[in-house]
Amino acid sequence: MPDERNPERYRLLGVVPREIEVRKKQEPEDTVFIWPHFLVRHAVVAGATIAVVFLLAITFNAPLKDMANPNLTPPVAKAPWYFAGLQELLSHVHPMVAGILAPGAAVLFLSALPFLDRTKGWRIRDRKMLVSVFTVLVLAGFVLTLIGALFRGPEWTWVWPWKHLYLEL
Amino acid sequence: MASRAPRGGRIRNSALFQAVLTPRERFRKSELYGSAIRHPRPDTPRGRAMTSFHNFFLHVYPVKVPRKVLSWRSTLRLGFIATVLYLVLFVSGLYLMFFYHPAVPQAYFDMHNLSTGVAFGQFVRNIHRWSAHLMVAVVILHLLRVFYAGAYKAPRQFNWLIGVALLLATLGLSFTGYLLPWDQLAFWAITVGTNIAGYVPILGDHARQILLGGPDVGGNALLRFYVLHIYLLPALMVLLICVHIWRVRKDGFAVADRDEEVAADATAEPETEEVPVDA
Ligand code: HEM
Repeated sequence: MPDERNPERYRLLGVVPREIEVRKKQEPEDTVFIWPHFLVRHAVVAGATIAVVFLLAITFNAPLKDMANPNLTPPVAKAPWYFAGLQELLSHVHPMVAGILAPGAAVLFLSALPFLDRTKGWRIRDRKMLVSVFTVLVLAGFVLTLIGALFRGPEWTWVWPWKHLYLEL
Repeated sequence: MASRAPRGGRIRNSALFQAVLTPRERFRKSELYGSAIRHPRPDTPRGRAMTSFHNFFLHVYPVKVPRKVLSWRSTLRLGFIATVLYLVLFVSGLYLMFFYHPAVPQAYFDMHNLSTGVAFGQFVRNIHRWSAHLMVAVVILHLLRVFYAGAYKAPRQFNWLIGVALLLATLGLSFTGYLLPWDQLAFWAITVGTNIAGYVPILGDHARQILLGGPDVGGNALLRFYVLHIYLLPALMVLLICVHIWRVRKDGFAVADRDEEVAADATAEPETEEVPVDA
């Protein structure tokens, strides 16, 4: 039954025996209606996201180079930034490893992760081992991506990004 | 919403007169509005519940959510931001499609024309490009958030799996889109990227050629990437996002399962009165 002082705690399931209602009161279910609380927050987040995209679009133009020319290799041919880590790896190990085994293993590991994880709690301290392994792998990927995207120039040589930035988005 | 007292007689009560004087209220009384919106206004608990039940779009949401979920820290809203970015991409991409031919060399000329000869062409292209980059970043951050929150654990294992598929679809969309401008940047990035496919076990270079529709990145590759980019992957993406969000709706947000106070700053109308423990 609707509570006059507290309209939010509206029982949706209809009239319930007084006994249950009393028991429920001891453990108030702490919920709110999605309108307005949740939807307003979502609207704000959506608005902010779109605002950021508009700002970027007004400020920076998408690149357009010369027309594709298979006979003219540019000084450095970089994959998009999210594959720059793999490209960096490619310069160190056999392509089979960098191009197939490493990304394949990453996808398999990610897919299997919830089923491999046999720990009980959800807190980080409940699954220290897994979190450590995961974090090391993510950091490795991050560093490789950073190097590939920012620190590599012609012939995949090391170039400090403040000397010349070979990064195209 | 009570109807106005009929003071001014017949003229004042006429539909036309009301439509001019109080268009909003007149519209709310119309058959069109009444047939489309079947719930009372969401300003009472009953109205809010009815609104959730009777509105298709709001049906994605539960009627009520745990207060903890109001805190932005609960999910960092990253999955939601990814969804918004996908919608932005969907809409801006549609506009671009009207001015683009997936053919060599017309594709490149179309890109030029977009920046010079099409109303808002450059602007919409910028939006499409930057939100694509953002989406890749946001989806990766979303994955990290879900991992560190332990939100992949039962009963959400399968939704994590769908998430992995979403990540791959996102990367696939971004990568196939990268070729479409048909400039030097696009051509060489895709050439480098697809060379990898030549090392696929057993198939070897066949895998690369199937992807490219020929020995090298050319017209066939452009067409293949275009079809993947504007048809197959977006359709897959819509399906996966629907299932993904449906699962979140069914399982509830993981934070809600946590017993302690995660969201101390979730304060929409402090209303938890202290209920004395029954004697
Ligand atoms: C296109 C990409 C994706 C979209 C649009 C998306 C969308 C969403 C949305 C809207 C939520 C609700 C919570 C929130 O706003 O964060 C969510 C939750 C979730 N997502 Fe995703 N997601 C995507 C990718 C992923 C990936 C890559 C993973 C992991 C591999 C993942 C795993 C999950 C899980 C397990 C939940 C439940 C989390 C919870 O209950 O706290 N999602 N997703």
